[in-house]
Amino acid sequence: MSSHLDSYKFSSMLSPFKNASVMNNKGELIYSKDADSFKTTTSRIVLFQIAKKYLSPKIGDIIISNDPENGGTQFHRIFFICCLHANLFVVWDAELNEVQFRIPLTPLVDSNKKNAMIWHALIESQPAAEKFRAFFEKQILKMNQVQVFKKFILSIAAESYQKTWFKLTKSIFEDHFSLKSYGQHPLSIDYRDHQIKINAIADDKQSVKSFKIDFSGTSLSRNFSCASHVIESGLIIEISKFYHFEKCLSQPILDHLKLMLPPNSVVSKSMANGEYNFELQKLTRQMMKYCLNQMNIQGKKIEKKFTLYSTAHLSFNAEHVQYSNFLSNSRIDFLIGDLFEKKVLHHSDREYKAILKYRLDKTSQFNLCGVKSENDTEFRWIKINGEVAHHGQFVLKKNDEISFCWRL
Amino acid sequence: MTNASTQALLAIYLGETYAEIEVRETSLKKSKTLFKKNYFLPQSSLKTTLNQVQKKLNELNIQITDSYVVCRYLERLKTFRLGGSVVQVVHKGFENSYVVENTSRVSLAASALVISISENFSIDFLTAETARIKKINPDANKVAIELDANLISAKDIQSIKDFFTELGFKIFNCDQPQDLLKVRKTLLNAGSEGTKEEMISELKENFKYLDQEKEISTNVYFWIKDNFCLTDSKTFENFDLYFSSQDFLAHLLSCSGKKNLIHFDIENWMILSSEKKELWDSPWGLVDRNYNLSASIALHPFTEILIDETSRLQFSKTPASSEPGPMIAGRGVKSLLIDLYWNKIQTDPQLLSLFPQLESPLLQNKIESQFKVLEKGQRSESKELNKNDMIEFVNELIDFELELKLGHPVSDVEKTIWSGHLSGLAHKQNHRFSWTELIYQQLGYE
Repeated sequence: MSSHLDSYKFSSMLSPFKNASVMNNKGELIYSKDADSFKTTTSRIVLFQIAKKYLSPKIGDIIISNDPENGGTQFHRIFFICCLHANLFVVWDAELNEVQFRIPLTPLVDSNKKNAMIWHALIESQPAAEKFRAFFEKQILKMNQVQVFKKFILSIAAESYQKTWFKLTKSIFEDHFSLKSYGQHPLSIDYRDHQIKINAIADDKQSVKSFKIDFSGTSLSRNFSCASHVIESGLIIEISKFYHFEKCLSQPILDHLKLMLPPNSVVSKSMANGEYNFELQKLTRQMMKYCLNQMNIQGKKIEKKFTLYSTAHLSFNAEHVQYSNFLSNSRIDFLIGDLFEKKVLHHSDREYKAILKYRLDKTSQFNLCGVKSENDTEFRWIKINGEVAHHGQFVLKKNDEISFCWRL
Repeated sequence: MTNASTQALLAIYLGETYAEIEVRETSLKKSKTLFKKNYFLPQSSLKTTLNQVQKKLNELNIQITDSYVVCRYLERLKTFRLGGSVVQVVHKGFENSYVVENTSRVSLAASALVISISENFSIDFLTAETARIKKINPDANKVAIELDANLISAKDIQSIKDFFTELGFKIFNCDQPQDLLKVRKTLLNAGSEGTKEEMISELKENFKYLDQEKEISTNVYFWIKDNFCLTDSKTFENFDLYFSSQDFLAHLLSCSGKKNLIHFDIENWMILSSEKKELWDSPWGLVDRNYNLSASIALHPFTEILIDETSRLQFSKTPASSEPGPMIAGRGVKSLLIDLYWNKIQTDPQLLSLFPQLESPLLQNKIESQFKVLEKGQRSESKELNKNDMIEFVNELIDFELELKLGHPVSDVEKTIWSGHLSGLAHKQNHRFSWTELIYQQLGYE
């Protein structure tokens, strides 16, 4: 017998992961969790379908992939698909900055045993083999942890359980959905010489509740775009947060959400290295949040203008550490560690300033991406050796300087 | 006090929400308990609690020579911004530097109480700045000096220290301001000074003994790392006190030779591992401190059971505050997880001394009716949960999480030890636990 409180059990089961899904053999989402700042709900579903089609994972198998043109997002984000039961799978993703090459669908573990050939080719032959080994072994360990729940796995793999669970989550969705306003709100912005148009529609026609997000009219991709599942993953999280059904996000809810993404557009064309995934997901989430709030403003007369704000994601990849740093409009997470000498590190009022000098003899690579708004250039910027930067891959040499000013 | 008094030791577990106090005779290692009682702190402050104990001991003609403290008392500071009376003296350009790494963390010092020092600073400048600060907070009485001897002369640093010492400030020094771990540690020491002093002064104030006709305050020892440290000995820093109870449990774990300790107490449920960690990810940011890894259970004894906006039963994301606390404490109105187990708690004399109101049939009826309200008020697509179903579900969830974190069935008792007043809930066996008895064991008492 399933109960809505089973979401607590699912939550415990997925606690070793940041982003993860539990799915059945048909690829239907049973439970989902996205705790990373980059969301991958739909990406995980897409990858599962591809893996199922080409490699049909069996119990105890773990299949990996990172291909941004085939359900993946960026090279450094590796997706894992593990079969727990013929009708139950866990799909999750984790980051390893050293991975800067394409991994097509690959069977990493066969029937609970590491695939020796793959292990050697993918892990042991790498210059940073130790890091690779630690990373992949950690992921396998996480899976072993989940397999402790034999009884629960067996019960949730049953079709009868899933049927009741889906009925439950659908009912929860409908209740939460009814608590907010119906209607629509369009928004259109110009960004990097492209137009992005969104129309959010919350509807209840003939007792069928649905949420549509229409991107019709969005510019075609001109070397600036991302895959549709990247956009969808971000929007699903924004919507489920708004309607408070994060704890039961599952297939029946996804079936009520409809996304219209024009083909070959900024929001639907994948790029070989997923360069703009983070930026476009963050950007469309800001737009979605605005539309949801506008749709639910009491009185409807208070039209608040949409103001895009900058965000930045910096991932440092040194020999001994990897840091993922993030700056947004509400917080700064910027671990400095021993990579930099601090020339200035200052906070007063809402403004945070840093001048950091790279101090290691060995070079380090770092990636910078994020939303670049024209509204806050004066008080939100990042400079590399005095030059404003907001996107790209950089190599840090000794005495190079990174500085930033960021107002919250 | 007279010379005929009995000299005794006081053992105290000073928790976030409750205190367990026991007194035994000093001279006899097999001595019996002279006094033992538990106090629910939100209803009786530390001052009142110790005062009550002192009165009782006076009646019994008992003098406390030494007080041994295991504490979790500073846990209550973890949600607070600290350092409201802490001044920072920093190099220009390094004002509130520790915040920049993680702005969502709680602050360790008031950002306005900063004095920025440039190379050519003067005492006049310090005087003017201190006057400015005293206008903002006249009670500022601690100063964290975060100056690098490579950037300013040792003589100048000393003159700054002398300046503040003369004004009656307590000095906290950080000589490596580039190292944010050390800056946080210094500020945490400064920000926790008041609470540490409160604990010590209350104990010293209440418990005095006669030594050659001279009245002397009790010696206060805190459990730090793997032994009791005298407060005046400077063998520990204030921030160590955040780990006192965890260090104590880690020591028990280490002595047992087992891998994990499962702790189910009134104020937290966790698994403590024998594995060590170097950096503490504190509520104020990273701090350099070696400690045993621990993992909290998602459910907390004070987690609220409630009906959500769609009339479904849910558990609150964060635990309820300890004031008014659970219903079993007498004043609470929310149904907390710990209230589910009131029948069991009532049969444990130790817990009953902590929640004496639980003896009242009125309170028992109130708790039962609250759970009836939850039972009748909930909407469920399957079966409505009554109190017993809720207990069953919570137990299942606890087992579930323990299994995940331990990596083996909870029933595999060979690999773990148990502690805490509520360990019987998860252990399914009656498990006798007493902080103070464990303290006496560490002191060599039987």
